[in-house]
Amino acid sequence: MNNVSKAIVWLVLANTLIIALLSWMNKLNHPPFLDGRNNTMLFSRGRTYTKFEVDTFKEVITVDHRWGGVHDIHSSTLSEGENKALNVYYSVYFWGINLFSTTNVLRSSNYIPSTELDFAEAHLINDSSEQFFQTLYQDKYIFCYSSLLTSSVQCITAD
Amino acid sequence: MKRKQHSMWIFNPTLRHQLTNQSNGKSKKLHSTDCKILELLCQYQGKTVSKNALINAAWPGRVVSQASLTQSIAHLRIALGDNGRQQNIIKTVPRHGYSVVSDLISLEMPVALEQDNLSTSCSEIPQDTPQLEHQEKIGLSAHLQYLQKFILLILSLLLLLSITWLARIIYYNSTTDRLQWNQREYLGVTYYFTNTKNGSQRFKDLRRRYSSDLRMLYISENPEQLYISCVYQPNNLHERHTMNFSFSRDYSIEQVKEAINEQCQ
Repeated sequence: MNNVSKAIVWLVLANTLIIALLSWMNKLNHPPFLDGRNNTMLFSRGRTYTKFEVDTFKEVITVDHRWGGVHDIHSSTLSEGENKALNVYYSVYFWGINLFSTTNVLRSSNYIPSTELDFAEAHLINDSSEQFFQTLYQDKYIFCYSSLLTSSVQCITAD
Repeated sequence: MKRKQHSMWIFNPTLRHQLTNQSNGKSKKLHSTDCKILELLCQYQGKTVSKNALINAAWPGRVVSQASLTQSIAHLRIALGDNGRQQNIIKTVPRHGYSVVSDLISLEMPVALEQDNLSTSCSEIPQDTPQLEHQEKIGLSAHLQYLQKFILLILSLLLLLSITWLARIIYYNSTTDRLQWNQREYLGVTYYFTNTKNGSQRFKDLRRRYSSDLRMLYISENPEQLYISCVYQPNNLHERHTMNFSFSRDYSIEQVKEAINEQCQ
């Protein structure tokens, strides 16, 4: 066996070990809330109160599991009295038991800062950087989390 | 195939080792030019073959000196256990050429070659075939080496990517500060608020008797907004619902409490 063959064997072993470790960590960090839901729909409702108006909205979220622990999310938010939803696409990765982040955020063209009444959230519409969130509570049907950037809290339900 | 019995040597120009000693079975490999010269001499055993004919057979289309022929004859004599002094097998015919003594060397070659009267090229069959095999082996080996290097590169990149990803997980998980949350029970509702002075104050501000449907209340804020999420379970239903609030600072605590009481049931 020449040196190249030895190196290949060594690399195969090292890759197997690291990928096994990554898989184990992905499984460990994967939220129980999403267990058994490879393709699922989540729901949330909310109200934003400003000085001059109150916006009532509902949100529908679909989650698709991708390879390597990445989840593709598609969210549609529809405000009361509106007939056109605001769509957001992004990827979620769970870094720890209570830590996840969103990246690759794409918004529909009608989702602009002026449509968002929450000033802090409106600011983030034009910001494509990675956002981190902390899991606060989860059981089989409810998942609550907080943004580490804006400190906002959100709870979503399954089914 | 034809073979003359009782010959001292068997000469087959199509083999890799063309010359075989009948008595001890040992074979010898000849240079292609020497082989061609011996082949021509054997075809005319007992007769003199001119130097020009031998040179043309061994070096067709090339201008070579007679010294080359002399050297080849010397090689052949050594191979056959002969020498220039004794000339037991190959005889020099002065100023004319050379001859091979009859019946000492048995010339073997495929019948087809004999029928075609081809002067079997000693170099083509016995030497080129292994050469081709050798070239194929070199080609295969080069291919294998290229494939090995490619696999090595891919595996190295994969390992680098995996280690980077693992390092990212460990780094983010260990260096990202989480908010510390407190938990308090008040009149059947679990309040969750940040472990800060403001968080404790918001808990004190917002605690009151709410609808009996309310189960949990999450409270957080930033300088612009107050955020509240409630989890409630209507008495007549088993399933729980959630409602997320975002209040601008223009709203008073009483208005916030009223909104929670209205919406979280």
